[in-house]
Amino acid sequence: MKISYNWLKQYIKALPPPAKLAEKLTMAGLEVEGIEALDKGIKGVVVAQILSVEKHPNADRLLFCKVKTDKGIHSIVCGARNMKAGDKVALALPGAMLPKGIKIEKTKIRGVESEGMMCSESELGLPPLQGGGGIMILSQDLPIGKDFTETMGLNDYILNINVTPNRPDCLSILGIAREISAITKKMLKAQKTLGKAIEKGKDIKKLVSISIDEPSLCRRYTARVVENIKVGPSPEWLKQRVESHGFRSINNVVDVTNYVMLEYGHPLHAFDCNLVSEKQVIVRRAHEGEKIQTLDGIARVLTNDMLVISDAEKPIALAGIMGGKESEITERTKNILLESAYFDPSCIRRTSKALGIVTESSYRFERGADIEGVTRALDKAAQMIVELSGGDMARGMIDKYPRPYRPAAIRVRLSRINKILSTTINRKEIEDCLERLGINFKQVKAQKREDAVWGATPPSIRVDLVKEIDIIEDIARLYGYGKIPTALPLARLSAVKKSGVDLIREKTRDILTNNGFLEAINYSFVSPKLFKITAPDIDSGLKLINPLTEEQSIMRHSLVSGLLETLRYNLNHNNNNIKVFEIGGIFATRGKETEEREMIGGLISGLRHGEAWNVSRDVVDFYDMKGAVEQVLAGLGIVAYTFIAKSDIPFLYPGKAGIFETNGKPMGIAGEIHPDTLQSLDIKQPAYIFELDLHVMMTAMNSQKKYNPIPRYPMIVRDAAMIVNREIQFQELYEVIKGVGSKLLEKVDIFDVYYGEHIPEDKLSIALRFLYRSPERTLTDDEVNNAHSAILENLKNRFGIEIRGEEA
Amino acid sequence: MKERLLQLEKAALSEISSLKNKEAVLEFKNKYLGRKGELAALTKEFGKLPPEERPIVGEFINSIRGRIEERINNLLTAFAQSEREQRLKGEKIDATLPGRYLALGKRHPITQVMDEVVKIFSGMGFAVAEGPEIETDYYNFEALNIPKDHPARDMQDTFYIGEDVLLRTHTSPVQIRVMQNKKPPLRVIAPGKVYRRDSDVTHTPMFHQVEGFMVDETITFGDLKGVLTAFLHSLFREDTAIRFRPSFFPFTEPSAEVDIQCVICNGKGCRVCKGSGWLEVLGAGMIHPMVFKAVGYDSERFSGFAFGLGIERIAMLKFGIDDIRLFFENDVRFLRQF
Repeated sequence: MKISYNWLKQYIKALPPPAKLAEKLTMAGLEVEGIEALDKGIKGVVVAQILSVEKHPNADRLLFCKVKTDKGIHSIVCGARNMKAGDKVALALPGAMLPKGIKIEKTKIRGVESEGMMCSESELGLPPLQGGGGIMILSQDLPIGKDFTETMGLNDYILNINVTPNRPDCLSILGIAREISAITKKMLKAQKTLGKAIEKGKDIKKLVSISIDEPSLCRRYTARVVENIKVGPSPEWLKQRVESHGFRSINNVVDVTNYVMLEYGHPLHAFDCNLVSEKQVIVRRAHEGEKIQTLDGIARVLTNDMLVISDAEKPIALAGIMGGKESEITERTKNILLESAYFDPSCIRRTSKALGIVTESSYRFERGADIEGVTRALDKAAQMIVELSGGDMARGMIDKYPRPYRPAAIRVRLSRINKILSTTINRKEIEDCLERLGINFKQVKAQKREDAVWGATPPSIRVDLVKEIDIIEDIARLYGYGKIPTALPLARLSAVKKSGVDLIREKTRDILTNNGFLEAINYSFVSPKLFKITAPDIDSGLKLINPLTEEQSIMRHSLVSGLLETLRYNLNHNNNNIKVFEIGGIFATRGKETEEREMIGGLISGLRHGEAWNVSRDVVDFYDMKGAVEQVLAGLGIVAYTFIAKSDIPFLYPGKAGIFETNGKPMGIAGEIHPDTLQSLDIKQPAYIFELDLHVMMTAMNSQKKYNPIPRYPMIVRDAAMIVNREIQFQELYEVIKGVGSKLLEKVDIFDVYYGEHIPEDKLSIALRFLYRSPERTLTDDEVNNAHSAILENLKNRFGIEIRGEEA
Repeated sequence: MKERLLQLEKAALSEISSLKNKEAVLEFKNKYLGRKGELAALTKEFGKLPPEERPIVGEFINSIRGRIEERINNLLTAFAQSEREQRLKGEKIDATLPGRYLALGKRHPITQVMDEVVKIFSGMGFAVAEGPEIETDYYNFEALNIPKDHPARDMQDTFYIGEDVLLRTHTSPVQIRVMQNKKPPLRVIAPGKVYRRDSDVTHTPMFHQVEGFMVDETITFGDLKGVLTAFLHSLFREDTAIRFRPSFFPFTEPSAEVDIQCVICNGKGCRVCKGSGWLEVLGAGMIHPMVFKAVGYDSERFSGFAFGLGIERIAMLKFGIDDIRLFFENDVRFLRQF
């Protein structure tokens, strides 16, 4: 809300300076977000009159003028040609300041002295005239020598106040003034009321008839009529006022309705009375499908839950939101019907949302207007219209007010105030606050003798004061939050234990960052294209009804989509070696249900050790990624899992992918991204991903660490290199080895895997190292040989393996 | 005999000083002290000596051998030493080249700040609670005293998934979920992702929030000030100036916005604080009786405060980041910095 400082001065004597005032308002809950000096730093620019315009002796494109101010006659060289002798202009004298810190000095232009500058609109920081160019020509009635900013009403400040939704009463000059009065204890200046003498026209009842069909949606409707007016441009001061508050100046009728709304906060509307069919005004619900063209020129189709102002035939306004084009005030308008009403906030808001129109009027009505302030605004506007555009105000007003406002008293307890605020405010201070807030109060009987209780009746304008707590807040506000004592609460101790989910997140972050992974956070929503990479069925996705962009329109189904986007982004910025992980939610629908799961995902691509002068330049492969996962699982004590190679995960490389399973449940996937997928994303280097389900991991987690004794007896090592069919997976060999069940076998390590030259094409060579040990004694060669050959025999029998070398 | 021995010693000692390397020394050693060396040759004549001279000459021979050996050993040690020095010099590396390391990963700056916030509150006995990111209108709005058609809904532009299903706009629904399931006393914080339909230099459609609340029989506005002051002094500097000013949130009353003295300009006024010297960092207030009513608490008996803060904003202030979108671009050159 923009608020003119000068305008406030009309209400409050000895108003604090703008910066001080802004701080007081901010600390009372009306946050001032900015103060704009309307003069934009202009100083020393005065109204002057041109006496003569001659050609510059040394330049064809320049003119030489004599210009008069109260200080004398000044010689001015000027490049513009739009002025003539007698015109009044804005003259910047030497030493004057213009916006953006430009300083005007005496200069010589082509050999002729110029004692200042005649300014254009844009040089004065004003919007340039249409088709403009040239200097600003001022109105003839401005006195010569007067300060330009003052005559233009620019010696003012506009406070930009963030009015919270609970305070519609502060959406006006009067409302802010009332607040300042409450905060600073300065009295509001009394304002003039409408004199009866001004009503010189016909009896209003003979001119129009008004009825409310929906008293629940329109609790009050008042109107006045002014006849024989002359619609035209507004005077400068009015134009300036409405424009500095962000309105476009339209004419001397519409500007008045806006001016009064700014001053009192109550929205008004003026109809061209001659265009109201049968001079009948009906407040009713719109018929389903009924149409109206609103002032903005758009044809609107209405529904039955919207409220309209209608004449005998058709809607002439969307109640409380926007008038109709047909009954608009134009220069041909002679008679006007001025409306001031109270509309139901919810109804206004629903209509405004449904039609997508937000106006200054709807903004105020949906927050709650002052039902008792309706006629004050109406009177003020009618009076101003008569003053500015002539015309005769009809006698009397129409005031349809079926169920007048009956305020309810709120019980306010002194004990409660002090309990909530931890203060020791006394009765007198409370009553002082209530008084300053314009709240009527009466002390009533308290349950406890030491307590005090009031019946408090807030003014009708304070629609936010309904319950005791509302009054307590206002008292706290006036008392000052700063004065409320700061204390630490006494509370019972309690042990704070980390949840399993939190433990997994924390450990995973530790392990992966130790392993060189950077943590990424991607948006939870992705583009349909990215979504389809991991979930071919787009219908399983949760779509946003109102996304900001197509790129962020569907909730991710997998972390992989975001990680691929991270890779693509980084490759596009020449960051080619990527190791990232993310922990976050993924989403899906199941019929009507939505499903949310938390996942841990990772992606690696590029050089294993990055770019450095002293490391190998190896590129990462599948096993770097799988190793990272294995480390995470080991770190979390997840041991009971298997990795099953899979070739049917659509976005993964058929022979280089698989799933992690625990207790027969899938726990995650891992693999190389399918080349087609990479190509579709224009990614030109291989990438490896994994994604684990945090909740499944939790079921398999064993965070209890247990000590294993350090072996006291030596181990005995047996190596075996074997030629194996390439179809056979290590996992199968391993199962068989374990299946033999030798108690002496402590561990099997793989120390080489080879295929290529010297090995048949369908085979590979795998070299295993078997470690034998007993916790109780030193083993003999015979014992180990027996165990070892049993294992090898089993491998031979099961897979037809050829053992190439057996060494001790 | 003694004469010849002395001559031998003299010749040996004069020869030894001209030896240039280890090989020459060994040769020399062999020549004089070897089994077939000159000293050995003289020793062979030992038998010809009268028995009474033998011990004297024997001792004399040994002392000559000893002296020569000592010189040889000294020389060998010296040669070995210089040889090692020579070798070490040759193995010199450029020690100013950077070292080799395995690059460490980093937690996301948001995670780091989130962890710090959670840690401070954990220290004050606040337990962590979580809730779904996909919420119902009831938990996100209705139960928090934001009815349908209320203008307060404009304060948070919402992403919808269905008519009453939405992406939570704050972590406050967790407050409702916890209070529905537990009775006071409660000290809880709820960190998490939230979503608002907004995008510019200071807003992203997704961001992180920590909501916190405390409910008991005697919780006051003074307690709210105390806990949040302690928190902010722990998160920022101990002497950071803090102010509480009235504001409006539908689910708290009285409501406050909490400002800290600008950490960039120390309150002098700069671009970040828009010249005011203050930075808004928290929203807070006493839990509204309507919220207690929604969860079936007696607001005459229990009172409490609640607060919420945006993690991105804190991270931007802490690290001097001027564009919030950097957090979600995941440029590794950005992520590595924290």
